Amino acid sequence: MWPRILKTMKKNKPLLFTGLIIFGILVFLASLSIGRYHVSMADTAEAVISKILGTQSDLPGEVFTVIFDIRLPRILLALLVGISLSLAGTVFQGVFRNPLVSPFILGVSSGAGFGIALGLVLGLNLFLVKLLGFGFGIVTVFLASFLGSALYNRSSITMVLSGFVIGSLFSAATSFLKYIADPYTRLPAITFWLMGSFSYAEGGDLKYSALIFIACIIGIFLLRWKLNILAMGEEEARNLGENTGRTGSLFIVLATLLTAISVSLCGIIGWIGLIVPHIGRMLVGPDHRKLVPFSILFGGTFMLIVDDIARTISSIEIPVGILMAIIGAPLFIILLLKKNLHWEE
Amino acid sequence: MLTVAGPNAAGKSTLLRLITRAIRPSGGSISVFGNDIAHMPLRQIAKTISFVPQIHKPMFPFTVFEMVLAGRNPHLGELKQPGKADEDKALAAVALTGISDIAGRPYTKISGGQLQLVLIARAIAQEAPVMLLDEPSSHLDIRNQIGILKTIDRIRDEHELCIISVLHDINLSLAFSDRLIFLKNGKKTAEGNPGDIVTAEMVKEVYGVETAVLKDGENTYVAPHLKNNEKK
Repeated sequence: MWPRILKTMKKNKPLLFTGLIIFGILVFLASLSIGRYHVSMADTAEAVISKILGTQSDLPGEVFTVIFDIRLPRILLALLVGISLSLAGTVFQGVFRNPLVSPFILGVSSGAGFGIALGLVLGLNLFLVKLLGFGFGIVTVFLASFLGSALYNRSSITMVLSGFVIGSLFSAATSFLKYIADPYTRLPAITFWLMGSFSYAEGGDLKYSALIFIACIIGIFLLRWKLNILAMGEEEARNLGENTGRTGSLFIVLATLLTAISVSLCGIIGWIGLIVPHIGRMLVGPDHRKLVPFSILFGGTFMLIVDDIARTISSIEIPVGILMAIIGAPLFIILLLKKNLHWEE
Repeated sequence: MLTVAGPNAAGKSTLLRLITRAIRPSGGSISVFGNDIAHMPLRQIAKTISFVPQIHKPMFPFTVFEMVLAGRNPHLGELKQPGKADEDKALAAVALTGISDIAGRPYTKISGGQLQLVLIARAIAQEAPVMLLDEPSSHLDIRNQIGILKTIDRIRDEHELCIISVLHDINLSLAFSDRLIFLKNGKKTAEGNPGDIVTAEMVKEVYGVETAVLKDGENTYVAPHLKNNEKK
């Protein structure tokens, strides 16, 4: 049954996108309802409707507290991070013309990880820790591109190489911080944070980060056609009238902001940025005019599902970064095996 | 059609890349319709000059149509996407090159000759008055070589284009070009009507090989003396 549904959806793109939106809304509602405090789907729907319409409801007050004060901020953050990492993966793969590139290619994760570790070692409050993570994530990419252009030029291979070098440097610095950190309090905090989890999310996070998330997502959405041009390669894109230095840098800045803010809020969640663009190319094709909307619609939902599993599968929450790797690695192998079958029409 | 010919490393591709400003000249200037390209924005150059590369390494399986549509890029504003009019122009370019039947297929799954046509269609969709082609017939069999050049010939007539092409095959140059330039070591060795400048002496000077140049009415052919060369 599934292959037939997939085939129909591949043929009918509007149906596919409508399906993705409906699926996303259902997962969103389900995520509000599941958790240790039991709220039925019907009660969740009722609470959401009464909140939107501002009508009175007979539901107990704690249902509203659990749904809107505890679960909603985390769900919104998971959605935004899922969208961001998927979109950053799509952008980096297009700009670097390489489908095996992840959002962490330029060392953002190493830099942000260092910033977080530094903040935790210094015993700063959570907001400052996240700010340091974000700042160092940006600094890494800035250093990588500076080093890249100083070494040779702005070509993608030198940028990737210098990203790797700078990233390794920050990883070593992070290891050093772990080594000197208090092994009973600070070290576990650093380790758990970098594993990737939404449990460090606070209600206030969204207030500061939502603007950056949404601005970058909208920016990439509006510029998505240019990814098709950049994917032709540097010289051909220039022959098609594209100022590749400027457009490419703009994409890298937007994708880096999204990645850095994601890592600073919830650690390193791998695989999703690699897999979602691949699933997208299978279902909607490589045209970024469709692939970018797909990454937005599917990336958020996908992250939400994995986070739902992470927080309900056992009595202790599993870091979502670990679960994403457990789901992501085998899924990626399946995608690579199926790729040749599906790319043929 | 102006053809540029000459031995490998003579500077033919370099000449084309200079014209598209992929590389900057160490001296002198290049003007198109009286405008120095060094001072033209890239978008303006792309509206004036389209380029068909010799090698295109596909990375993502875009459809043939999506590839051709990319040719509309210089005509689109910063945040604009191709609209209905652009799609129509891309479809017209696809039809003109005779690849309508494969328009929906991934361009990673088509033959070398078809890929060459896709790149030409993309250049047509660019609607630039000057079209540069870097060895459009290399990697193709003789039937496809002739097919591609006939297509280029037809497009030139229909769109009144100025075409500059690098060609390796002297016989194809003789058959299809109005003017021929021989390059050797980055310098022009000869320029003129192909039938006039292609002589056994000239071929010997440019390529260093012995050939017989045969005349058959208006047509000229070059045949290499393979056995003579071996004896030496």
